[in-house]
Amino acid sequence: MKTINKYKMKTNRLAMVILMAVLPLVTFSQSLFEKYEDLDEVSTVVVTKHAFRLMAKIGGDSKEAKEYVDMVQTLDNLTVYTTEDKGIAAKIKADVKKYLNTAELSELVRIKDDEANVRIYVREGRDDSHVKELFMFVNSLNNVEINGRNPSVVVVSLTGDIDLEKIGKLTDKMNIPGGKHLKKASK
Amino acid sequence: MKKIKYLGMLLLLFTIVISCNTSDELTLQEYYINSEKNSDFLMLDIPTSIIALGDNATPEAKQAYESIDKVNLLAYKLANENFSIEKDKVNKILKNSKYTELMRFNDGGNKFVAKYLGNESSMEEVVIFASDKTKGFALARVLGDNMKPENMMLLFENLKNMDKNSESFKKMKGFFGNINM
Repeated sequence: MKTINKYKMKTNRLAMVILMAVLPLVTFSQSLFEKYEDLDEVSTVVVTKHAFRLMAKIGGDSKEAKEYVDMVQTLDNLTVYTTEDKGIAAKIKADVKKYLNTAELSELVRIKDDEANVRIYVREGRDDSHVKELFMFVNSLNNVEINGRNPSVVVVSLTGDIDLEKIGKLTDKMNIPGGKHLKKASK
Repeated sequence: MKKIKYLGMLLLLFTIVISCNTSDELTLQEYYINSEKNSDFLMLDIPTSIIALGDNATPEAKQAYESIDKVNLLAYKLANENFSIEKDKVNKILKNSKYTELMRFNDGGNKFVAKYLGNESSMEEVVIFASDKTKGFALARVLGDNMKPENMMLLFENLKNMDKNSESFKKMKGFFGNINM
């Protein structure tokens, strides 16, 4: 009896260790950055897949609307964090580095111009033109004004079944800082 | 046999505890009713009759119009220490998993969240909660039966036909004239 119990304990422990090792790979960016949402100095926007599905329903009949519907239907969550606070921006930058180290993201585009430093990463999807996650990190903004603010850092995470070729159109519409770079990247 | 009895009792106790917890939770409806008596709140029921649906309205717009029962508005003017207590109460109610979150926005002092009750193709209630640290908060509930999102948009187009002479509109204007969200 005793040996059976000992064996059970060992496998349980092993399972726990494996689970804990795998967990960071599975979690989405939101959980690492969630803590920033409550800070006053951070501005957060979250659009859930339920909203995207509703938008897809409202769609409309025009050709543009149909395209939009196709693209939006398979999105999960869109999360945007921005802050003007330099101290918090530095913390976010460190967390981004941490996230990039654990998640299966690979760099898609890197743009540095006099306005900002933009890096776009993606996580492989079901085929070459689809990705499971699009992660954008905009840094070193040089007095760029967005909606009346001068953000120091912008983090954008889009998850779901994303069609890279079409996503540029969406971010363009949403006026996400750095969106224009994404449009260029998806072409 | 003893083990089964013990397990059974435990299960019974568990279900009692769970049901006690759920009945303790304040629903949004209850919160509205409780707050109505409080003079710090403005509560308004906006009937759909405020929107005059034109004669040439499409059947979809008509469906949307008929599916909405009313819009329940509850607003709290800041000037009070109770602002965060009340705000927390609403947040707690909305955290219930029966509400599906659509989107949220948080900008330090300003917060906004939109959720719905029911399912995607037939919503029972759409709740919008907006708060501003310096001004107060507003809670809007769109109540209806079988509300379809695709028809809702068509209804919004008709909003410009709002009856500006109705009592509800005047009350809204009066209150919101002071709050500029």
